[in-house]
Amino acid sequence: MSTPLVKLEGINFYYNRGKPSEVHALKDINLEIERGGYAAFFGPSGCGKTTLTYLIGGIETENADEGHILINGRDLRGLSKKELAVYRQIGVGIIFQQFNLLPSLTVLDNVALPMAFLGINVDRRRKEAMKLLDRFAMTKYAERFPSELSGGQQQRVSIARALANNPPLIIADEPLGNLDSENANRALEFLKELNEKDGRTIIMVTHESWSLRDARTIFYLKDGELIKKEQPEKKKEAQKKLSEHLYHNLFPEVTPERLMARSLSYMLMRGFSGDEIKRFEMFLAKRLSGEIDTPTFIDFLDSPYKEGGVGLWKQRATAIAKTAEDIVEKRKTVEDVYTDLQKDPETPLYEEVSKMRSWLLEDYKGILSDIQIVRFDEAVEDRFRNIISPENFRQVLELSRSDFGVGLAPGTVRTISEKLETILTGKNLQVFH
Amino acid sequence: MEAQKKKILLIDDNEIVRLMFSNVFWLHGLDDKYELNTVGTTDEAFVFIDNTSTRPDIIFTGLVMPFTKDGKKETSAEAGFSLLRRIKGDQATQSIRVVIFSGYNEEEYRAQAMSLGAEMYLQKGENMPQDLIQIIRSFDNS
Repeated sequence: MSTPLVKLEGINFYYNRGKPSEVHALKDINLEIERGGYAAFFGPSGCGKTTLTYLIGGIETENADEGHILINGRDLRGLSKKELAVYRQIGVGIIFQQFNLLPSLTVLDNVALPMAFLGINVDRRRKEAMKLLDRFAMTKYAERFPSELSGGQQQRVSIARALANNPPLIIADEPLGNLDSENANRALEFLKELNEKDGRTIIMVTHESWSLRDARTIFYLKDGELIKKEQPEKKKEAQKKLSEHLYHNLFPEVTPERLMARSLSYMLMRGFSGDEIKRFEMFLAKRLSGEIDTPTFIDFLDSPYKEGGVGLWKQRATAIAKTAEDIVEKRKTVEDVYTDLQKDPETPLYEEVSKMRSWLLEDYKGILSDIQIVRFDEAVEDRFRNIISPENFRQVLELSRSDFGVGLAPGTVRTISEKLETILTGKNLQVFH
Repeated sequence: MEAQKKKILLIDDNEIVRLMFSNVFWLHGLDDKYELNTVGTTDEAFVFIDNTSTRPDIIFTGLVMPFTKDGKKETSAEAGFSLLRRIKGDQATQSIRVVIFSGYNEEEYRAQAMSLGAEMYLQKGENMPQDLIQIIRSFDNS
């Protein structure tokens, strides 16, 4: 086993220790991040995730009260102020939510600045900075000032700056907070590239669950505690196998087209009644098997319900027909379509799921915490994709929070599950009698 | 056959340069392959060089540094040159590769260092941490 790049042992951190205003911000944190890993610290604001990254980034390090912050086996807490200063320059690149670009320097000089701390002369600095800007397609803005750039552009500059001294570790602190969905998606792509192509280790701090899609290890934090570690890549793989298995075993008599139609129908037809979805599913299956062509399909979707159609707006009908086309032409799988939907900046999957959540919970009087919401969304998504059964879905919702369930009361769970099954199957299931 | 770690010695009177070197080795995981020591004076360097068990394979050294000559302290390029002369003039140490890592870029310094047997003459402001890593790795293949 090689030494992990980051290893925290028994970290405790207090603000105002010993005073009445004392806050125990981090409680006995233990974790490891391997070299070349992509980890996310996930949790609501105030959960301690930013404090934690500041410790790893060498910023709050001197104030840690207990424990060890081992970077490639060496404890940051044992370093002198000067050593820490050098570590901050070449060990870690931080991408801040507010970008933190210096307004009085040009884009080029902002990126070149960290190299100045290492005594690199100005010509070499600018040459290197230009190379970095080129990587993010920002060279034409080199002589501009940060205030002249859009949020997305400023962030690309900020990523370039974080790479200036070639640090092995990149910390992105809520990197998507100030971006629209398209730029947020791009930022995630950049982080993924830095991880996969450069082999840099990434730590992303976030409270948005959809931004976790590329992270290979997710650390869930709450009230200063590390409450859960998850490795979704393994989970995704398992899910994929499981879902293939389920599809195959649940519906052995059904054709693949029919299966795909079934699994996609709800996704594409959110908010419609069971009957409408059933009808849509039938048309979609016909289209997928080549029984009908695209214009006919659009026509069906577009016609009013009472005339035998689905009653969609023309635009929506065309968009759905396009998706069906992609499936037929490119032989896309259900998983591919879900992946696309997840990346779709217009209506990404996470938005669908969160809309679904508010609908399912509209009669629920309590308030869910962020962690509960994540679990809830996961369960809805898994149920959607038919990865879990209605039974499993109810279990997850009922399971206590300490067991990583949602912790809802049995009555509430019953109502929610019935509601969800109604739309998924198009009929009222009498599962509880 | 297990390869022995290559020994590298950095001589520089500037603490930040020494820290930068040791940080590069530590953070980029070069510690597994190389053993780096850093010292601030040529006098300290010879403690490592003269002892066969600590004798470095590669030396990175500044040129203009404080040193003691005939009992008097002075700061000049002579610090680096006399180090080179002594290493290259002794059969036991002449195979050590010496890389000059200097803030000065005067042509006469460069010429003299090379004629005294230096491997390379690197200018500090021209070399990013990643360049240093590359140079160190390039010695593995030659």
